Amino acid sequence: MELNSIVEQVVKPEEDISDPVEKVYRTIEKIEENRELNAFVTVDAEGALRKAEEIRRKITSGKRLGVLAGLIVAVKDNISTRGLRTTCSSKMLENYVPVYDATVIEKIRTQDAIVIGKTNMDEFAMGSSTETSFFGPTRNFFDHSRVAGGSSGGSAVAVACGAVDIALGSDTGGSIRNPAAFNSIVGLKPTYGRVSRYGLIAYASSLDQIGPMAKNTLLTALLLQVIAGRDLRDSTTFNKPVPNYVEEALGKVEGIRVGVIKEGFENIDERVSRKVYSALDTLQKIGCIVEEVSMPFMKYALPAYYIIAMAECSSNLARFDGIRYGGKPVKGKWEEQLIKIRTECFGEEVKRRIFLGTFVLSAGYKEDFYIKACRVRRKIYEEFKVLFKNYNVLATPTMPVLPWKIGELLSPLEVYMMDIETVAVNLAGLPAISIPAGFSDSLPVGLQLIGDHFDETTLLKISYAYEKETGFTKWF
Amino acid sequence: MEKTEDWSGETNKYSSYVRVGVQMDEKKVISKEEMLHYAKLCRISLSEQEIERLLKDINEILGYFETIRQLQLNVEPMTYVTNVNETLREDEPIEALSEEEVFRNAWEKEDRWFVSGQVWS
Repeated sequence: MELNSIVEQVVKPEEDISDPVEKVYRTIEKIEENRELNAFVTVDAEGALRKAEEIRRKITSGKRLGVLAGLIVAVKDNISTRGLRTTCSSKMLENYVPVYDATVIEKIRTQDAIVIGKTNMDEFAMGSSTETSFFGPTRNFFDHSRVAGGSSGGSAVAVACGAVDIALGSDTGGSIRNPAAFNSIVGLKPTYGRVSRYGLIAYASSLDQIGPMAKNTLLTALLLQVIAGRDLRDSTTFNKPVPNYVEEALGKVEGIRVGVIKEGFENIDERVSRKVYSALDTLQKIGCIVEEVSMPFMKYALPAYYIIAMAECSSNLARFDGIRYGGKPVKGKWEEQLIKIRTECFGEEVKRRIFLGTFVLSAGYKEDFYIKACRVRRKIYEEFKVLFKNYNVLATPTMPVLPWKIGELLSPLEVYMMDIETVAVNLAGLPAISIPAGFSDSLPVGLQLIGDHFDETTLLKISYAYEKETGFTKWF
Repeated sequence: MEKTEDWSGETNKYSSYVRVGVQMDEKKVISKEEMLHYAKLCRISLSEQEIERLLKDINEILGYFETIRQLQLNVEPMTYVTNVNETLREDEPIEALSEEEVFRNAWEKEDRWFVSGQVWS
């Protein structure tokens, strides 16, 4: 089946794309209604209307439409959009307007998606709750006094509140899966190298990956379909054919072997583990074989992740000198300018990570921290690979807790701990998806499924079968 | 699930979570002097108040990192999961940004140069 016809039949059966301009106006109204949630940093009504009119002309003249035609997309504010402010939710890039599009943006524009705006995030994607944003926290869709999760919190809430159909996020240690879980949507972190990072403002280059977020599995699959593939401008992308994710997602799940990582259920909120266990029962009911497995090295993933991510961030963020772009005008000698700009324009968490990254890479400590963490990374990679000999996917809760109250977690280490279920995946470069697992105390819980390298299809297959069984898209 | 009692109380439920996961090392791993040295390397200046707060947070975090420091592992460090060299493109000229685009986000330019403060005294 051709992708276009699949999309028309399966993904958008009720979607009326006859008037995209009208749809953009409705979207803007919806964003306005949900302003309190603070999901968007920048809304580009003008650009969206221009694109909608272009699509309308295509429709009237009978031209072939892209597969994303009529779908409204929200884009995380660390993905470069030509002519549209891209801030990384930082004072450092408050006025930065990219002069080029990220590869993923080029791809979705070519397929006639309408970019409605840029979403709020933790500053430079450094955080797990969208609380470190220079523009203030994004609020959880289900309880406005609680965090949206992060760092792609704005993208998740833009989807959850119904303003947009799909969203792009980025995931360095859980930043797509975490807010997806906290807002009861689907979020997929692809295999490292599956999606181009060209134009993604780097946090930790060996871990960062752009991925799709949506209310249902097929829209997630469709967006992945469009953005995946080799890109000559990102040498870490793979020259591997891109499967037809939408069609593959419709496949059977009988006999798929799911390994439940028992360490992922230790010392976590029981209200979360109960829900996730019952989601696993559902997987069994629809034909998956569910068994418990062990990953003894998982407990080292979190400190190893933070050491590596901070080391890479201290190097990546050295480029922000405020002279070629960003920052603010400051008089004085070059070094004085540099110190003043970085001191005033980076937020507290960003400074803390640059500082710690510099420390773990410095002479005398590099071997003890950074190199050791890289050894742990290999151990984790190997442990995963052994498990994938016997299992198609691995399962854990996405988050160890329910969404917390904004401002409730006081120490940085407490916040870091919230990534305990998600970071191992990034260290090993694996794909993983968070799917809605139900509610505890009226707050959403996510089930995380981890796949082998380049096996996004199995994740989507399970997600779709589970969605049909539970009807999780109707939980809103 | 034996740790449920950690969650029933209203106060400190998250910090108790932090402590159950791994062993914490309470000893101070970095001094104020060292900290100022690293801040200098990062080109970030710190106020007295910030130093106090950062010192506490950073020592808590480094205490947690001790779990990694103490490991003895006989495997090669892994910095990237992919082999980058396999996918390099041909070295051919491709279209680049125009001069106007390159300078569009700069605060100050002079002819074809970015303007910064004096580098050498």
